[in-house]
Amino acid sequence: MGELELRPDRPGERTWSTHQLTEFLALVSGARDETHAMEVAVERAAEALDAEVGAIVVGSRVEVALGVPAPGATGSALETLVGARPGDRERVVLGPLGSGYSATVAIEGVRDGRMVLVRLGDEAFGGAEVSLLHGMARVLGLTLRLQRGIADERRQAEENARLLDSLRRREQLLQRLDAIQRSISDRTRLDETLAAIVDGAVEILGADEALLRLVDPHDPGSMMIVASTGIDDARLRGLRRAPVGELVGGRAIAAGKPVVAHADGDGLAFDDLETVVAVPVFEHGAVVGSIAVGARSRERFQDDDAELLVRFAGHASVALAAARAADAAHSTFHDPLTGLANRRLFLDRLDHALAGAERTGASVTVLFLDLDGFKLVNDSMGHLTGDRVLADVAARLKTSVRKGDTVARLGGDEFGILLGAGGLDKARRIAERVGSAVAEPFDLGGREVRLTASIGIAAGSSEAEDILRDADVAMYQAKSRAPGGYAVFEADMRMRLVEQMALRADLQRAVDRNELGVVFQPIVDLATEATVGLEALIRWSHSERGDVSPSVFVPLAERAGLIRPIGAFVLRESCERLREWREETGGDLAVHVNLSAHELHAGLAREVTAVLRATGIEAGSLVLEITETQLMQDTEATLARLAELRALGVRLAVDDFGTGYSSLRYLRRFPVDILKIAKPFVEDIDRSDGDERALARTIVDLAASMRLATIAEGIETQGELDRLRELGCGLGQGYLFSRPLDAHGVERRLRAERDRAAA
Amino acid sequence: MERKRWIGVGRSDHPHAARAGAAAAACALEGRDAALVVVFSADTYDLHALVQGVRVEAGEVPLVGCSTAGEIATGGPGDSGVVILALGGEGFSIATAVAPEASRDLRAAGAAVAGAFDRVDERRHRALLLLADALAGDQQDVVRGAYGVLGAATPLVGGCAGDGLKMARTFQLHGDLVLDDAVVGAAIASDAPLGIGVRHGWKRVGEPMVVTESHANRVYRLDDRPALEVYLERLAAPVAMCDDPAAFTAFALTHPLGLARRTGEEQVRFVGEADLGDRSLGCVAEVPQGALVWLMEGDEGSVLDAADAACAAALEPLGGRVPQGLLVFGGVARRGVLGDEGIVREVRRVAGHAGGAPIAGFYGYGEIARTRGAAGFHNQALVVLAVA
Repeated sequence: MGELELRPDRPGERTWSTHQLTEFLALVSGARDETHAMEVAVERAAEALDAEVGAIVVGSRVEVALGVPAPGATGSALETLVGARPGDRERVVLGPLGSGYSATVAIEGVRDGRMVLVRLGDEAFGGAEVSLLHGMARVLGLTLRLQRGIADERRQAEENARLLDSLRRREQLLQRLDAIQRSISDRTRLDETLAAIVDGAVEILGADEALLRLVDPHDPGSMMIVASTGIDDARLRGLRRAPVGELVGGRAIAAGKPVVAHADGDGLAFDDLETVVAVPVFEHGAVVGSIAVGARSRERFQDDDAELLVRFAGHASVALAAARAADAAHSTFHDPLTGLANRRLFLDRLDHALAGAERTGASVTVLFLDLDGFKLVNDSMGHLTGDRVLADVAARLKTSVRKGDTVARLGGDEFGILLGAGGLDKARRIAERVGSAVAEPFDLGGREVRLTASIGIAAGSSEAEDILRDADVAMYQAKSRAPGGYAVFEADMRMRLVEQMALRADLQRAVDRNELGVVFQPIVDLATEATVGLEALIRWSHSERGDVSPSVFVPLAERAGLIRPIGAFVLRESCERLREWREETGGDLAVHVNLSAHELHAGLAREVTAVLRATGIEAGSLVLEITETQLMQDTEATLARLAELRALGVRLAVDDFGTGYSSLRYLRRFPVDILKIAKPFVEDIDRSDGDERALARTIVDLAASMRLATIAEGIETQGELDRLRELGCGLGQGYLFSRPLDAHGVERRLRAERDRAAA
Repeated sequence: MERKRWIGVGRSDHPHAARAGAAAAACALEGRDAALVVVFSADTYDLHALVQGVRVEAGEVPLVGCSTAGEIATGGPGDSGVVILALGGEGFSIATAVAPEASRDLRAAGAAVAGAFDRVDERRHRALLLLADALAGDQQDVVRGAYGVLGAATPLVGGCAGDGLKMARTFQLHGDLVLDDAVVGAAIASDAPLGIGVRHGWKRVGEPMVVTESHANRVYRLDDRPALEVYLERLAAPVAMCDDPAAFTAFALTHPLGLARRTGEEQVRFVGEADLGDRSLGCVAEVPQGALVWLMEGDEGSVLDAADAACAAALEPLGGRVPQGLLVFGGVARRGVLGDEGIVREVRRVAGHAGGAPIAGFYGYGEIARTRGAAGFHNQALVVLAVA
């Protein structure tokens, strides 16, 4: 720097410039490569000289530019920078950025290289400033020359390393392919062999992930994933069932030859991948699938990688062809989804067992298993999720039985277990084990779902179909007692089944003939005990059986598809009564109607609108109650439907709050207005001052902070009422205030209240 | 739909975080649909709960924010509260972005956040609002990253979060996220002008010193002697003071370093801490090796005059129009010089310039304002964004 000539324009500038240059040298020489050095140089020069725009230009090419983004939009600005010649210190116009003064200096040691700065506005660069810029350009030139020397050396070293690496890879490749060949000839399961192929490909190619896809034989336009490595479940779900021709793997299938794609040029579906190589897998000369490997760094793949991958694809072809022959036999007797025996094989084995039993005089025991609530999972979360649950259940069943037992998928969500040995006691133990295995939560990509299984057990020595039917009847009995349990077949069960069928028919008739009734439980303001609302409760008085409890007939109605007409009836009845009470007593009341999960269907908003219009009740006076468990079951669809209802102006209440998986998070997502505190919390509140009271307080506080109203359910004692008032709970219902009343009872109560108030 | 452009500001110091968030948001929104909500909150709140509270009122609106070392609102400065600014109505197009784990690559973080402009409509005026974490390293690099993407046509404005001078951990808010070591930003495009002003009002004391050894924001040697020694000697301060980090920070707050600039005011660098082991000083942004620095001092008069000048500069592009509101980013050191009563006067002065429009902001650990040149990170300054 000694020879640097400075022409101070102002006293003190010499000191300033020299120090700027020292700082500049320290920064530029620390750059990791040439481009970085140029970037740092332009940036620091611009900062030091208060310039907005800067560039390094070599020939007619802009190597780096600062302050002029989006080259398309400011092309004219870049042209101006390219046009600047060393020595220029003139006024320039930079397109939309406006005009300013430029300063351009040559970069020593770089052929036709220039550093250009532009300061927008009216202040030209002074002599000392241009001199400083000269010094900076010289530092940059030296650094670039140094960088080039280093880069050459690095390239040589990399070349040597590549040669070594190539030899090593070839050796590993041979070992891997050998292992795969052995597993094919040992008739290892196809899925394990294919997994070994993708693992091997990732290892040998130094990739981050690999996928083996096959064209779906039933839908030749789309592909399915049969083996993968290095890809998490969430992404795998996103990649599943892509059409042939899409994604790099699909393009290799369509083209029938290797395809290499890079993130910048080809727009890979996942931005963390830099390069993907895919090659087709052939079988008997036709393309049946592809192997794709992806890497997050561009340098990872080498020129011969596609060729290596073709070797793995060749082994996949052999494995597929070898498995195909064995597979044909297997699929006749197995369920493709779960890999379990199918109904045909199950009955075949049952027949076989009965033949053996005939010889020994023993009987054969069968378990019939049906999942409770599976339909809801399937309908709400989609068939893919449903299939996954079925496969999980199958795996759990297999680990819950003994070696000699046969597990089969009989169809839909029904499974059968044929016991190899042992009688009813053994069957009960297995039923318990199987029941608790199924009851463990299912993790569906972060969403927890719980299911239960109802199990029927039957033993016999007659016909296979008969035993299976008896087990089915026992299952039905178990399910109607309480889902999640088991029952052993008894002769009178068939009778009871018939009886239940009859009850269902009666219910159908009751619905058709309007034999159902509604009663109303008052909801009161806890401060004044005045009635502010009424919760509608369904009642069924059967002509022969007397009152049938809702806990018996509502599930029956849900299973029989009768819940929608019943729900519609309750809604209409409630709104009509509400209008009458208002006309009679002038009170300002709301009516609460419970919604069953089965009622939360797409047409509900329309139905509600029709009823409101017909009865003249404004939407704000109708509160629809949903249980917390319902809310959790299918959030997206539920959310959309609740939002529709809310848009009508109807208010929403969460029933039994605190008994399910409550969380602030979902409350925020759902458009609810009211929390109903479940009875168990209310009962405990007066008995202890421990956790339960804290829980009730938390619910009330939570509701207050979210501006939700709270209704305490099942208040029975004065003590409970006092505690709830202390907590700041606004509303409540329960026997302390009133039992459920018929419409006349409600009217009497309202009149009495009105008269009291008037007195 | 909202038609007229509007800005609303709300504040709360309710002890319950969710309620404070909800109350301040309700006051800022007054029932309107916002295009952006900006939250400045004391770090003593449970910020997750606070954001949930804001959400109750504001819904899924784009949200950015940070923790503070003091909040600023129309009525005056405050501590341990939350101030929320909401803006909306006609003529705004806004998108937000966040870069977590910014300290891995501060420049990339700045560039990533600047990318929010890809999602914004073309409008006549624009600015990138940045909220960053000064404890994550040299914040000038964040400015460089954003400038590299946006260039000279887009001004940058904002500040670094605070934590009530604990200097331990500051938070940045984006959507429902509460992060530290992050940069959050809002790309604001507007039909009406956006003006930015920045001044600090500090003055050089004594002779200049040369930074003979430094790395990024760490200064090892001044005039070829251990930096801490020179610093204390010049200020006639006892070495023992360094034993108490809090006391040192409080002292250093009013004694920053000033970096020579080609024109105009020096760039002020806040000294955050000292390392007794290698006798170095830690600053909040880069102090380049070879640079010429001065010790700086300010008095109430010069610092308050700077507030006036920053406001005037911000309002200038508005051409006499009364702003819809002002966003204010103050260096925490101003509190050291001005004291609790002085900052009341400072905020009152700013409010005076607002002509009745609401103001919101905070005191933090660094300010961002780039309207000309390529540098734009400041310390101990007052940065004002005027929105017409």
